[in-house]
Order: sequence, then structure tokens, then C-alpha cells
Amino acid sequence: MGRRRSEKKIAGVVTLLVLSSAFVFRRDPFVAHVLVQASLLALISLAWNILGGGCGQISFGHAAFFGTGAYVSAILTTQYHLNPWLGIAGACVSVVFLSLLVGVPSFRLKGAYFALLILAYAHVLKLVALNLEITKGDEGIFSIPSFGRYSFGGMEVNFFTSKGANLFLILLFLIAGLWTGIWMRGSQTGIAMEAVREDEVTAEAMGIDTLRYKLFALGVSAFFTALGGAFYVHYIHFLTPDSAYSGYWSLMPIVAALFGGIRTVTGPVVGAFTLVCLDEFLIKELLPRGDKLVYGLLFVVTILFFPRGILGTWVERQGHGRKKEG
Amino acid sequence: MKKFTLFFVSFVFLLVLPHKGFGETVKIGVQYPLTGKLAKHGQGCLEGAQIAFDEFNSRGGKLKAKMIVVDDESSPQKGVAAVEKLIAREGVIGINGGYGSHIIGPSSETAAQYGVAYLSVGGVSSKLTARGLKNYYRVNNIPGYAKAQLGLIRDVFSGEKKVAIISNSKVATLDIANNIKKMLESEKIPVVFFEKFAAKTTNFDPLLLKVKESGANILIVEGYFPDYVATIRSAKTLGVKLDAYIGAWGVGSPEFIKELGPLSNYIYGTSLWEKGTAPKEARDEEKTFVDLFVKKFGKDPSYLSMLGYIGAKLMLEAAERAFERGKLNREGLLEELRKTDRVTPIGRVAFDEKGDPKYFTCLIIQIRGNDFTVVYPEDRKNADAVYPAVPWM
Amino acid sequence: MSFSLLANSIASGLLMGANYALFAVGLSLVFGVLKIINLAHGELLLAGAYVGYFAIRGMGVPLPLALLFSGLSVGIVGYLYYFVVRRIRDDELNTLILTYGVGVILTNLFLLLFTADERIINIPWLTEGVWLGPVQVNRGNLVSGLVSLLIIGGLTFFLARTETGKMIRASSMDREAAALVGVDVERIDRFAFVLGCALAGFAGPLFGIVSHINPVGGEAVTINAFILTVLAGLGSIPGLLLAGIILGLGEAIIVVFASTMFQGIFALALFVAVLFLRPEGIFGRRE
Repeated sequence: MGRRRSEKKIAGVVTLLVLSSAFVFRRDPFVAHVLVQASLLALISLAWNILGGGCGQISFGHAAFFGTGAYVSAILTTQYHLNPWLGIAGACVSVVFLSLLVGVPSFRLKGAYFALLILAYAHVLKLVALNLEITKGDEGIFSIPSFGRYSFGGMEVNFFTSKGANLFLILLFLIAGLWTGIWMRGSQTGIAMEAVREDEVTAEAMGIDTLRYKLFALGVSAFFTALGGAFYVHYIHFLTPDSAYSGYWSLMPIVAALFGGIRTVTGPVVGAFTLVCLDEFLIKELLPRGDKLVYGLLFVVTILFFPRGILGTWVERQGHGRKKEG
Repeated sequence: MKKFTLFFVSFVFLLVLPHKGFGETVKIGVQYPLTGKLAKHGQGCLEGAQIAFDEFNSRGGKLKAKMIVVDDESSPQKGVAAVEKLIAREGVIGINGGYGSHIIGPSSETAAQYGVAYLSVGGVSSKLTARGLKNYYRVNNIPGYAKAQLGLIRDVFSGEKKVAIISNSKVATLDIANNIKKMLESEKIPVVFFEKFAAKTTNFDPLLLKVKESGANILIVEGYFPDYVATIRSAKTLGVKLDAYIGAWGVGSPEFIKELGPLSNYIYGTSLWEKGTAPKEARDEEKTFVDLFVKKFGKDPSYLSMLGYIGAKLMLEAAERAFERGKLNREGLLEELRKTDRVTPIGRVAFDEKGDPKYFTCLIIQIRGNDFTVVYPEDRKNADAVYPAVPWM
Repeated sequence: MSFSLLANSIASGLLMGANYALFAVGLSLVFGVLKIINLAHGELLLAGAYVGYFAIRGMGVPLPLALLFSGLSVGIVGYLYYFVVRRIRDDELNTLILTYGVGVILTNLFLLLFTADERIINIPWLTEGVWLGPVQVNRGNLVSGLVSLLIIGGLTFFLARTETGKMIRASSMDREAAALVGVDVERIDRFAFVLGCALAGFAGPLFGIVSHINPVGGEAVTINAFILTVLAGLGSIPGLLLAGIILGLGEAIIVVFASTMFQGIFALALFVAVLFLRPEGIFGRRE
């Protein structure tokens, strides 16, 4: 029980930290953009971890959900002239539907096989996007609308020009995801998911409907990933099959989650922010060309010496400390 | 001792002074993919841009230029980050670069929000200039490539012509393929085979067999380096009887000859520039560039480096004019860039109201031995085409 | 459609399939024995290709020697690599991230050392076409295909007949049980891992001959190797050859009747179908 309470505390601190940093840097477009990238990665990483860390189902192809979410919203807004908010809603609903559709047969597979099956879906969807008329093939979709312009009592918010406005929006999504994760973890569902993760056979024997919980985790995971994808297109305004189904969206969320610690809900968020900020503010400054080399070294070292991730290791040490005191 | 110190201090002062005291420094951002999928192109362009800056700073003018390079990692969102960093952090007043339309799109749009000029050399999608941005310019576009290929087939080749076109399914190459197909058909030159192939296709034998069965005697391959390597290999293996093999971009890079050796002989390709093909008015400029490049990098420049050089140089010249007018800022640079009209080593460059180049056409080169010869157009050629000829016959 | 179109396409597809198997064998071996997906497999293969490129083009080393040299040098890298992987091998997910990181390091090392230039290992006599009965095939592909048969045959024989091979198989089926009956599983793991890396390096120069060398091309090699490994069934080495042939042949025939645009879909559909219908692989044993 203590661990869950400390989870909430950490999530609270992280929420405050990201919000205050957004507030401080909302007028510095470069930092704001870096924070948007970090938040987007954090959101997807968190979503990946609901399925991966929470339920033990590792996916190598979350780009499938990201890219499809991105395409649905892009098509709805450019070709059916829907408002981007409706585009996002449409993206989330259809991707959750898609995920459940592929989930039912896919969950028959375990471990690396499941992971790679999802990767294959991502590749298939990319090929589909390349060959369809509605996705404009390899050329991609241009000039996707932003979230528009609003004024609240004299305060002007322009999503087209302001990186800060977009930052607050993605943070809103991220915080929603974070607290959904925290809530799930503490609930009956979370406990059942943990049982599935630890030992599926035993869980089944205990009368837990493992498929149902796995599908639930997949649905939630796909939902937030699609949210990220849809946000991405209205932020970047361009979409090609390469960028939608890029390996980045499959691999980096895993890297960030592992880096932060997959046994915690907040770990992926901490991991994503640390990785993106380290890369943009430090490594790239020092080594304009060899930065990815250092990046590679960094996660090899982390995995070797902190296999539970930064936050995971920290939480564990805290726990040990408290035990000794008590 | 004191005297010496005084002397030393004034010496240092004198050294520092011309840089700090009298001149002004303009900051220009250079954004290319230096890592990731497009690294090869980005690095080639960057090397050329470096020469432009070196040349500019050693010319002895009052205005100095500082090049600030950011890697966009071949990714659209990193492209936006690069532009934000360049403008908001570094305070550049113009940006040069980008490779790939899907990265240039969002990057130039971000620059547009600041009214900062964005001049690209590696984005050819027609949608880029259809957006109506006021800050976007480029020096090359698709029709220029197809026009040159048509000219070669129509004006240089003789006898019966049956053309097969195969194209990588990437948008840029497919765009040229569709253009040339239409042009050939309107000239009543029969296109007997047309098929696109997936990027990363490894086994080209079946496709080349189909080409062989079509009875074509001229093969156009719109693709990239790996596609040329694989199709030439397959054509040789299968003994496909052709009179000419025409590629698009990539044929004109030194590595093409270096890697393929005798297998590259007689291949035609489009090129923006090869050593020694500059129009008369730009011969000196070309020579200076090549000399500086060889001195700095110890190798011959490729067309990519020439593109990078021209992009950077046009930007710097606009900055210089803006400086002379006393308006060295974003608007001033943009106004001057718009007025660009001069003959460069890749031909005359001037922009239309959308930012597209008005006079852009390609060269057609043919590889002969270990060298490129220019065989089209008439006014820039340095050798006659050898036709019919392919490396494997 | 003529006979020669179909026959030639089939021949090229068969050879391509054998080559696919060769480029996958290292990954399959490591996955089968250690249950580790070596995501740096493609980069190791490229490392071998670079070694081969400079040996053959720079120093004029004959091909067989270059192959051995590439295999040996990548094997040595693999030996060092193993000691890093060993530390965390019990956690499947962490090995994935570690091997991915090693791949990123190698890719960026290639970029720094060899620039982004694309290269091919161009040996003139290997670019000729040769007649095999009624069909013409590329000599480079043929040589590479034959080497593939040799490697896969040799490895299968080694695993089935030699003492070490039997221990490897025992250890891959049930590590604990193998340890109980006195197999030094630690040593077996090391041996299999290093052998897997060396095989990737060995295949590298052949990859440079039949395809092209690009510093960022490793990921695609890894993914293809993985698809093949799954099709073949976990750790089935002869299955790899058959899976490769099914893939290569299918791709070639698709071009005859449609176009290369459907090749990707075909490979993935096959992959998904096998996962659903026979998750143990086409040639794997049911557990």
C-alpha cells in the first residue's frame, strides 16, 4: 500500500514540475517545442507502459496506433473539414476499435511473438498508407489545420503560432494519461492486470478473465497513443507514411519507459523528459554530429547499471532506506 | 618588459579589432539532416555551404557571416526544433537548407511564422510552393528533370525509340516518371512499359525480365543509388538488349563511378551540375568553388555540395545587399532574396511569386570511362552522346 | 508471359531466398540458444561488410579470405559484446534495449568513420550472368547462395552431430535441465553468441556484393532476419533456408503477375499468418 501512496506523491510532484516548467518557458518557442516533443514521447511511453509494464504485454509496434491516429485525424480534418477536436475524438475512437479488433487474435501469442506481431501490424499499416488514395500515398498530407485560435476574456490563444499553447494542450493530455494510469493501478483492474503480468496461468486459475484485462489495457494504451498521434498532426501540420509509422514511435517509447522504470506509472514520463531534454540541451550542444552515439552509450550504460530505470531504482532505494529506519 | 606587454596587447587588439570593431556579423542558420536516413544528402549539402561561408568571410568585406548548423536528424519534428532553435535561440535572420519535402514543409512553415527567409535546395514536391508562403524559396523543382530527359530522347537519340519507364514509388521519383511519360506521349514517342517499384526492392530480375519482354530499347529508371546498382546488375545478368539506360538523380555523384566502376560506363543521368559545366558567365565562380572544396575536403565536390554552396551563397549575397541598404534584418534579407537574379554554376536563378525557380533545367550527363560528359543541352554540352551503348553489351 | 520470364524469375527468387537465410542465420542462432533478440544483428553484419569492403577494394584481398577475416573480426567484437549482454541476460526486455543501444552506437560509428556514402563490393567477375540450364542468374547471387547452403548445411550438421552442437541444442531446449546433466551452459551461451556474431560478420561482405552498404541500413537487415526466424520457427536453422526460399520465391512470382508494390504486403501477410496459424513457425516443433 505504501508503494501506491508514494506513486501518487511522485506523480503529483511530476505533474507540478512539468506544469511549472511549461509556465516558465511558454514564451521561449525553442524550449517550448522541446518540451512538446518530450511530453508527446512521455504520453506515448506512458500509454505503452500501461500495456507493457502494467500488464506484461510488450509491444514493438506502437507506431501502428500512433500513425493510424494521426492519419484518421488528418483525413477527417483535411478531407471532411471537421474541426480538429472532432478529428482527435474520431482518431481515438477508431484506433481503440482497431486495437480491440487486432487484440483478440493477437493475445493468443506471448512474449516476443506478440511484440513482433504488433510490429508487423505497424509495417502493414504503413504499406496501406503508402498505397491508398485517401492518404495521398508517399507524398503525404500537407497543410493539416492547427487547433485554431481562441480568445478567453481578452487573452488570445493561437495554436497555429504559439508553441506555448500547444505545450499546455499536450501537457493536459499527458496529465490525464498519468492520472488514468495511477487510478488504474490502484483499482481492482490494476491488481488483476498485475496478476496477469506476474503469472498468467495462475491468474487464469484464480478465475481472472485474462483476455478481458489484456484487452482493456490494450484499449487504454491505444487510446492515449492515438491521442498523441492526432495531436502530432495538428501540431506539425504534415504527415507522410514515413513519419507516421516511423520506428521512432515504436522504439523510443520503450526506451523512455525502460529508462524511467517500467514498474512505476510515472517512470516513462520521467524517462521521456530526461532523454529528450538531455539530447536537445546537452548532447546536441556538445556534439552536433555525434550526438546519437552518446545517446546509444547512455542507454547501454543505464540498462547495465540501473536495469530498473532511474525512477524505479530511486523508488527502490527509498523503500530500502525506510525499511532500515523502521 | 612593460614595453613588450604594451606591444603585445596592442598587437592582440589589432588582431581582434577588425572582427569586432568595424564590421558586423550576420547569423545564417543552416539546417540539414546530418544523421538518419537522409544523412548522405545533408552532409553533402553542408560541405558545400561551408565553402560558401569560408569564401564570404575571406573576401574582405565589412560584413562577416556566421554559419550556425543544426542537424534535423531526418525527422519533421526535429526540423521544427532546428528552426525554433535557430531563430529563437541563435537569432538567425535567414535559414538555408532542409532536405526532403516532408521535413522542409513543417520547417519552412515554422520559419514563416517569424517572417524568416527559408531557402531550400532539396525539396521538390509541388505542394511546397502551392502553400503560398512568403518566405519560402527553392532553386530546383521536378519539371526541370523530366524536361532534360525528354530532350535527350527526342533530340539526341536517333532511329526507332521504344521507351520503358520504371520508377521508385517515392513521390519525387514517381513525379518525374509521370511527367516524362506525359511528355513522351505528347511527342508521339511510344512508352511501351511503365511500372513503379517499391522502395527497398532487392530482387530486380523479374522486373527487368518484364522490361525485356516489352521490347523497349530505351530504359528510364527514376530512382536512387541502390535502385541503379540493382537494376544495372540485373540487366547485365539477364542480357537485356537496350540502346540506352537513363537514370535520374544520383547518377551524377562521384561515388556512382567509384562504386560501380566499368558497370557505370555509358549510363545517362540527370544532373544539376558537374565539374566544368557551368554556363560561361559562371565559370570563374565554379572554379573558385571547386578549388576551395578540394583544398578543404580533399575530394571533388558532388552536385549536392554545389547545391548547398549555391543555396548558402544566394542567401549570403542577399544579406550583403541588405547590409549595404542598411536593412540587415529579417525583412531586409527576405526582400533582397526575392530580387535574386543571376547566372550561377547551375544556370540562371530567379524566383517566381510562389518561390519556384523560373529558369531551372537539368543537364544530361553520360558516364564515359571514369568521367562524366555532358551531352545535353546543346549550349552546355562538352561531348557527343555515345548511342546506342550500355555498360553490359 | 513467356517461359523464360517465369523460369528466370523463379531462379532469381530461389537464390534471393538463400541469401535472405544467410543474412539471418546469426540472429536465429542467438535467438534460438540464448532467447535474446540481438537487435544489433544488422549492424554487426554491416560491420563485416565494411571490413570486407576495405579488404577487397582497398587491399585486394581475395573474397574467401575477406569473408573469414570479416567473420573473425566481428566474432571478436561479439566476444566483447557478450560480456556486456551477459550482465542483464535474464531480463528479456532489458536485453532488447541493450542490443538496440549497441546498434545505435555502431550505426553512428559507421557514420563518423565511413561517412554516409553508399558503397557496394564490386567484384567484376561476380557481376556477370551465368547460364544454369535454361535460366540466367547473377554470379554474385549464385556464389552467395551457395555459401548460404554451405553455412546452413554446416551449421545443421554441427548442431546435430558434434558434441558441442548437441550441448547447444540441449541448452536451447531446456537450460536448467542441461545444466543439471552437467552441460556448462555459461560456456555454451558464450560460444553460441560469439558464433552468431561471427556468422553475421561472415555474411557481411556477401551482403555488400548482392545488395549495398549503407551505414543506416542495419535495422532493415535485423527486421528481415527476424521475420525469417519467426517463419522458420525458433532456432530452426534448416527452416531458415526454406523460409527464405518461400519469401524470395513469393516475392519474385508476385512481380511476374503484379508488381513489386505487393512484395512488402506479401512478406508481412505471411508473417502474420504464420504467427496466427503456426506460432511455432512453419518448421518449428510444437511444444
